[in-house]
Amino acid sequence: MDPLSGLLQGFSTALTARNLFNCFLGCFLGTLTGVLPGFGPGAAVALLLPMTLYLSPAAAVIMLAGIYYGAMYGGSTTSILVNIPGEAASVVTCFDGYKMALKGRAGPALGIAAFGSFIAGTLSIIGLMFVAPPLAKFALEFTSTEYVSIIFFGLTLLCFLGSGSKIKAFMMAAAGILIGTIGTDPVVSKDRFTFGFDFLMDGVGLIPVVMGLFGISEVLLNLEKQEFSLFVGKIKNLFPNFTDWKASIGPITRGTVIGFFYGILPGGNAIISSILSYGVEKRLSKRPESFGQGAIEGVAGPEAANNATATSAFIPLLTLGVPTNSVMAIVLAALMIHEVVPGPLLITKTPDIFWGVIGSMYVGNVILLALNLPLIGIWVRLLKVPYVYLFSGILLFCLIGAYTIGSLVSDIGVMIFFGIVGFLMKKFEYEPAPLALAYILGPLFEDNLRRSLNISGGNFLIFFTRPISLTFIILGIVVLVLPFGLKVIKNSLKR
Amino acid sequence: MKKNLVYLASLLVVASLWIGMTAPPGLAADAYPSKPLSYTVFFPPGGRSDIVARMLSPYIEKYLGTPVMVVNNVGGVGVIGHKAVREAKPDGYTVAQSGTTVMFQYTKPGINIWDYTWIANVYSAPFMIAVPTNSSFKTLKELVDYGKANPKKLKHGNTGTGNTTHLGSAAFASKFGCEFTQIAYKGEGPSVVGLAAGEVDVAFSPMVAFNQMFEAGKLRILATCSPQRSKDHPQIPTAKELGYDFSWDAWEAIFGPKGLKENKAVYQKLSDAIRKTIQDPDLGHKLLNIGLTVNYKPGDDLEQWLREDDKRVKKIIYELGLEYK
Repeated sequence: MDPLSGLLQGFSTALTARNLFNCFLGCFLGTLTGVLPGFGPGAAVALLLPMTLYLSPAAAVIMLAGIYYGAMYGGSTTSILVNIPGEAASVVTCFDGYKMALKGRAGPALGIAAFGSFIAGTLSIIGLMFVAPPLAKFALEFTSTEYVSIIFFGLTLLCFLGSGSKIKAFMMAAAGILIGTIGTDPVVSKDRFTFGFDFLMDGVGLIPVVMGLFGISEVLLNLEKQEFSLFVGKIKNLFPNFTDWKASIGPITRGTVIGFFYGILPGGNAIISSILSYGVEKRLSKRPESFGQGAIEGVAGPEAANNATATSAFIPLLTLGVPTNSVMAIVLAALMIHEVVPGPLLITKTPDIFWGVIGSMYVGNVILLALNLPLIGIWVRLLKVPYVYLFSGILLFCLIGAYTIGSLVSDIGVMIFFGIVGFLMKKFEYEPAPLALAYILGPLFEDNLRRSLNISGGNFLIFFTRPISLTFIILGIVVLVLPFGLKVIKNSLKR
Repeated sequence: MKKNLVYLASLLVVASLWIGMTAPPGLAADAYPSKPLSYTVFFPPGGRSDIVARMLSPYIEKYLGTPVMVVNNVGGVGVIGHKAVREAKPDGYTVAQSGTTVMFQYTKPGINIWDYTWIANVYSAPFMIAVPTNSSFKTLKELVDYGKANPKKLKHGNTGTGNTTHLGSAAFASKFGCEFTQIAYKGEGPSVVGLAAGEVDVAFSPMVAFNQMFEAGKLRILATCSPQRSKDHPQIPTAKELGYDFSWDAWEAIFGPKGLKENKAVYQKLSDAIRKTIQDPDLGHKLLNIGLTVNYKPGDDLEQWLREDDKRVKKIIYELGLEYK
């Protein structure tokens, strides 16, 4: 079936009253879980999984998908308004979004986040439509070796992430890598740094760490403030103006591309792609010093990236049967419960599911835009709520959210611990972003690196003899060397 | 104050109504079952274990006559959940489903299979031996002969160190003298993709793992590690037919805390409901569609079989040096 007639069939599936309702419900719940700090799409889809038993497989995936990309829309709201990520993939949106809000520009920040998400979402669906079938074949070219090179390339971009002291950023990255080694060794399957605690055998959970470092720490910091509410000044315009658009369109496009490709990679989740997008924008910007001070590019790029990832993450699931993150694993379960096993033949065997989901994504993005834009005015007023109420509510949601991930009290403990760590880090001007990122990428890098070397018999040449891998290694080196190289050339020209 | 009292009273009324509605009609409060059954799996939502539990639970609900809650107790790679089930009261309201317990008692601290009452086996999925389609190995004999001549040259992609795919393949290799280099992936999906991509030479896994890639023409299945050929794929020879007498299954069973059998009436009701569930043709059909064949074994048979399985798992874990020290 060619993409266009497929899409027509998809719309006929997605636009039935029942599926339209499921799509709306998914988008609405997604926005809600996005806005509520602590509750991520992972917990939301897990809670709703039993309910999908009563839906058709296409309807189930339509709803669960709506939650996932809906959460990407909603997550930015909390980041921008209170500097607490509504869900983990909106961590970077805090950096500049909140600064914009403090300057009275919460409206444009929320607006560009919503529009950016919409554009990225829609472009990625087009990508999904045309690229998914050939990509299913291409994906098999990406083995552990290629992942190592891609992560290496990603890490080189991150050198440009921090805005403060480089040494402190490296210290935090080292700490993050160490925290990432807690748990069971991926190769020999022995406990590392668990100190005999059962709950550490899985390592420390991603959501508790991120919510602790970015969420709880912010609540603690705000306890010191004397003001009655977060923002007392006058709120300026609600929508992004022409200058905002001009600055944002590049970041949105690049964010979409980065997010789209990172979504396809196993373990490539929306957190990584949004942070990468931020790093890229800062690297490309003519005024990198404005990042972290309320640059709209720093909101537009990452928000586009996380939405693109939420869409493209469906490609490996639907075409290879491989879920790349916990949300996709639950979508897989929802399909399997209905006896649909995703894999290379899904598109031809059950076209109604594949095209129905794609059709619903177009619809869902329109619903989300319609849902989010009118809400901006209401959200902005939330800034005037006295913070005693606002922050006790946020704290409560974080605590409940941490518990719902795995029904483990230890996750709450981990979150509080990292909350205190994050508070102290902010006091002493250590940035949590390099720590969080190293903690996410470290284990992925280790797993793939050790597997590659195991396969090559310990020979490092494996990374240079495979074309895709070599390309990324070269790209990484170029990114690292280029700024210094340019400086050297400029200096020699001056002489 | 008065307002509060009214509020409290109405709350009590609502609560009692709700309890009245949920209790099965015509049963005394102490008759089993009078509360929901908690059904623990040790894997996160989306894993095969979770999917099987969610497929089973509506049937158990029907045959036992009480709501069933699937609980994903995934903490500490399942160790926390195993301990929680062990500590639970053997009152028939806590069951769990797993196929990893036997391995865990040697690789993780503080777990013993005889701390539990084994109620029934749910499914068994015999291992298949697969190679990529473009592999030079056309038969199992070619693979084993190459492995014998070139020890450690063959790379086997497992689903995680110490997992049943690791143990099964190592048991095969040790029996027929062809040592594999084990490459650990994080789970079944990535390991099968790694195989299809040609990153590794061979993989041992149940058919359910290979099905999609096999149908798409990316894999060649050399043999099944089962005494009989599979009904779905009768063209695939058994390893025994090819001269390699070897069988290994992925399986999952339902168990509860130790001492469950002491309350005969409760155990009878619970195990009957689980038997009816597993033997329900409707459910059997559903499981088959995702590639799993039901294999009901009642508690006693299961415990008998576990004793055998325990021995060979222990042997291979110690051979590989994976035991918890």
